[in-house]
Amino acid sequence: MSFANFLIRRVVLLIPTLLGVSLVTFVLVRSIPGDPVLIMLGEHATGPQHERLMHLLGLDQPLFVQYASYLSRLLTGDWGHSIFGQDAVLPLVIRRFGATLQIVALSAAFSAIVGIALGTLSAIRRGSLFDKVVRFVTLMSFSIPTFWLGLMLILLFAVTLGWLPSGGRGGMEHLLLPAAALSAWSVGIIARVTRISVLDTLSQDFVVTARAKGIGGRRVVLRHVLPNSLIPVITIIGLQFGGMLSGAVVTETVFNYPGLGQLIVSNIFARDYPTVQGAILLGAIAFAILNLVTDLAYVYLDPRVQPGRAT
Amino acid sequence: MSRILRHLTADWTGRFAVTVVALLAVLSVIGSVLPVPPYATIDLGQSLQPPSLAHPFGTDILGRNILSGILEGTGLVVYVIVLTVGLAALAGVPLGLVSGYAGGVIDQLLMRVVDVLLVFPSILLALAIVSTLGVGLENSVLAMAVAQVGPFARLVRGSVLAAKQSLWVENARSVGATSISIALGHILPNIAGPVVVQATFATGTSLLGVAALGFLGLGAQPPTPDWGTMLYENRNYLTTSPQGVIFPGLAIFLVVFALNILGEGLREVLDPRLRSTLVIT
Repeated sequence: MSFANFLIRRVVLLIPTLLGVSLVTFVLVRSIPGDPVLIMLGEHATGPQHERLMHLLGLDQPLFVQYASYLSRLLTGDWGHSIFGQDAVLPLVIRRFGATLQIVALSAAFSAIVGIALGTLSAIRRGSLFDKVVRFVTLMSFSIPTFWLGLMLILLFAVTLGWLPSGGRGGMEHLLLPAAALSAWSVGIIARVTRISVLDTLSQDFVVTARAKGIGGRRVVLRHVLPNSLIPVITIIGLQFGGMLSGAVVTETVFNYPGLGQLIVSNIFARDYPTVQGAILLGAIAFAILNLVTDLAYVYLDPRVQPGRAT
Repeated sequence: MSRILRHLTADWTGRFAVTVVALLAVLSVIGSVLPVPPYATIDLGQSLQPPSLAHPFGTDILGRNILSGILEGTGLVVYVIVLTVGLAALAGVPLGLVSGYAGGVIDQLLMRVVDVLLVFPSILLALAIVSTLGVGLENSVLAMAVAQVGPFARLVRGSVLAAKQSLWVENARSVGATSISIALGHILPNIAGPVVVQATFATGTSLLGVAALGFLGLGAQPPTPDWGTMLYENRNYLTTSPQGVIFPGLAIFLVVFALNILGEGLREVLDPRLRSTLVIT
């Protein structure tokens, strides 16, 4: 199968997944107990007022009609309006997603640099104390609750040392702590995958040949080993975005950072269906597309992977 | 069994992990009868006390003993991890078994459903479920269980596909064993190792997830001594009296850390697919 065919096949396969996602968000959010109309109007609303608003919002239609019209509106870019703020949902969730992406991107860059460096060094010094410490620390990093790490970072850098703001949105200084909290997990994974991959490459014939030709240790690692070890690492970095998106949901609440996650959490409490629905939908779509891009990058970069078998 | 335990306790991290998990198990039974004041005791005169002999971990805004909350919370931790992983495995293992063994249209259909589940980052799916069913410990356990069905189904399906090709399944079939007896009697016992490993890692993940929901105020509701919920209650006092945030979080971290070490140890013993890669790592 050619790469173009593989690409088309994967993009087509994305459609049922996204339909499923839209159905899940629709059904879940619509079956929330509690009456949004009653919340909007307050307890003193009269029957006719209630009915009129139900009708205006389309809440009096059968569920499958509501889903069909929901889906057609989704496709035309009309993601509805926030029940309370009256903002259009699509621009709102995209704006919030942009803010989330800023921390996620910073965190991804940071964890890629630190993770690859740690993983490579511990592979070269396999079995050393450094290797053991990295192995231990990475296992710790999988186990720290992201939100607790965030709170501890606030306690140290904002409360005690006063170096960085404890939250909110602003310049770079507002991104550093959330991104650091978010990175712990992915630094660990990237370091581990890099280590295994570098060890694997180190045992290959061409590295042995390069060494035999008298090329120095550092040069072998940088020129020959690393480029050949990074393919699985790229996949893992891509897959980490999903984990980071998850982590961001909670981290944003810790740092009171106006991203997608904070939007979801605050609107679950407010029972704003369209906003929660739109935000969760956008998160899932972004995750699906990132996974696709990661798969494509993997197949594209590694000539040994057969596209037909990768699906 | 003793072979596994011997392997797990071969180094000090393993001994640490086994100790923490054993301690958790013991405390979950006797945690609420230990000679500390009950967590429910409110004493506003002792509000936000720093750690002292009377309150080793300090007190919260209501003057409740934080150590008592953590001890009483161990029962909830065991409840959460057993129930979440149990439910996820109960749904995911049969799903993967049927999908992998049946193949064809059934496999395609089931895997599309699993794809949809997997496309949601787990906490996002959990949030969607909790927002629908309402807040509470039971619902957040259910939400994390649903979020973990996908990985179990995928793992089992993959293992079944590999096992189906093996000689001993071929052998069983040739002597006339039925599909169900092959799936349950031959394939399932042979993939038990990877499933146990996955389940161990899943305990840590689900504890973190349920704690996150608790921290967001969407899990167990106060005054339940749930560790995540305690963080939710105490986070507003982080600047003045951080003990209410430090200790419950530390407890979550230690337990998850121990569970992850156990998961790694078990993987080394039980997962045959990783024996070969172990040589190079």
